[in-house]
Amino acid sequence: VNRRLDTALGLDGFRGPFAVLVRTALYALVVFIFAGPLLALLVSAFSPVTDPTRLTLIPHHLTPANFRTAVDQGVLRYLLNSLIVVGGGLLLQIMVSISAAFALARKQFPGLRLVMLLGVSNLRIAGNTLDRDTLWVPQGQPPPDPKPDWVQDLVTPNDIQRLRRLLDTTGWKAEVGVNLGRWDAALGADQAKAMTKILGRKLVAVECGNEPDQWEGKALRPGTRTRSTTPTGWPAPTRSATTGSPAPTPPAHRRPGPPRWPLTSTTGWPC
Amino acid sequence: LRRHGRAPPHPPRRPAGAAPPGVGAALTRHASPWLWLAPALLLFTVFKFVPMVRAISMSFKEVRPYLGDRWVGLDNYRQILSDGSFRSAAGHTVVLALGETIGSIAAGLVLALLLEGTAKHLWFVRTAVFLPTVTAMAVVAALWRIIYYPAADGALNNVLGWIGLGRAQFLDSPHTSLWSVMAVGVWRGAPYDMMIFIAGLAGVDRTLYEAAAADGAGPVRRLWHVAFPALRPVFGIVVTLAAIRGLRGFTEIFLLTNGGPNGSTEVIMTLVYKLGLERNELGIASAGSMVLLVATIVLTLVVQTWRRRGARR
Repeated sequence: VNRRLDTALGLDGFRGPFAVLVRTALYALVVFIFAGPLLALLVSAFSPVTDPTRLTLIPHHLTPANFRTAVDQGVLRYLLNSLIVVGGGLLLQIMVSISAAFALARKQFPGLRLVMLLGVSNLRIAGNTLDRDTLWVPQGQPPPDPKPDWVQDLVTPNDIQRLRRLLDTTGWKAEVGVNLGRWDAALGADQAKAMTKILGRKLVAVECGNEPDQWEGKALRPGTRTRSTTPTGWPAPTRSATTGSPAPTPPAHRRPGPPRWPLTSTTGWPC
Repeated sequence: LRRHGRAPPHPPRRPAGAAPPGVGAALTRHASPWLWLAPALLLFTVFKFVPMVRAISMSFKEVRPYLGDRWVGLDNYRQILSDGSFRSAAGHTVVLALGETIGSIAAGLVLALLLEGTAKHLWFVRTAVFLPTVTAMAVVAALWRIIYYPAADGALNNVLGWIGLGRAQFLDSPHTSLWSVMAVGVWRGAPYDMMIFIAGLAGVDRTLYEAAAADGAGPVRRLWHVAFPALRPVFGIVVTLAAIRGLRGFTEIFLLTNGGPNGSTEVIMTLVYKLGLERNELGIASAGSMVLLVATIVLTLVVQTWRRRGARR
């Protein structure tokens, strides 16, 4: 694994004594700036107070005298007050939150949408993994045996049913992807049809694959596919997905009919 | 039914005047969720909605405890908006919010890029850096009053002396007090922003870094063309939170300078506090609060619109 590509700047990937020295110096500097003052406060708490305007990071003559004085002045009582306020507040917060969450998650009632306005969300189930290793298995069909070696995840209409239950419970909507990296016209059309039927109005959009510019690097498509040539390959899968049946690639001058639901692409290319 | 050729069954007979079956059950079914929600709604109502409505109402009245409030229309707003000290406090609020927002976002981003990763030593450094955010503001204020002690042997003046910079007055001078308060805000806010940025950076697909590196992109170009675009939604959240934090800042100023010296760090929140609770001008104070509320809402809407436009691109 190339550690230089683990993070945005890849600082951990720089080896050698100089790199380690610079990194350590930077870490020490940020710790000094952000934790130094608090460490100085801690050291002062264990030091005899000679000048209340001075701070030091180096302890001299450590003593618990300051703590004894604080206890004598009733700090434990204040601590107890804090615990009561914080503990009581936390308990109340948890009880109220659990009660409200139960009602919002498990009950269907008039006004639910109004209350959920603060938290309604869209769920996106798509992305690079989908194009790389996800296979749709139509209703009533067994998964292929043996599976193609690229398949890591199987998605079935039952999974879409489970998604529908989640969406119904939460009041959310979803955008779900169809595998375009390993495109199969029949499977893509079947998945689009099943999702439309099961999710209905809960389906915000069907996402046609994800980031085709990554396909060549992942060996999903040949290297001849580029940003300029790929859009011409879109009409076939798009049309077959919208009509629910496999379709041959139409001539380049023919555009597909209007889709029944919005089709999205994460690249901004026409879809 | 038509397909199966069967007629619908007759509904069962019920006594005259009796409620139709299922009405009670439906009532219970509809009432039960609201009972579960009641504690939260009650708390929201008592501690949020009622005070807000009361403040809006008070902003249009001359508040006279025990004598009854008197309707004055927009007079409170006219008075507060024409008051020089309010305009000055509004200016300080904007400068402070801008400075703290930009400063804490920039510092938070640098910290996040520096401390991103899974190594164990990074966990320790991140924890140490996060300490200011979880420390009580009263402790932070007391600490920074000591650090800013304006004598030549004050803590910060000592450090500045090491690099040849002269002695500064910090909180004691009208020329430097606002910047000094801003620095405390950045010091306390940057670790919070850092955590949000680190969470955002953790979500960036590593294959994109690999793809960029394969195309010959170095760390800076990876940052610019991969990490920053992926962080766009995170920037929106951080800007909103930091701006609201900056606009509503009260405790640090109240404890560090209480608006002084000579009003140089007075912000809307401290002015509203003084107007309302020290001078008993509750109507004018409410009008000032409403102006701040509107500014906060407008700012939030602007940032959200910018985020949505960015997401559409």
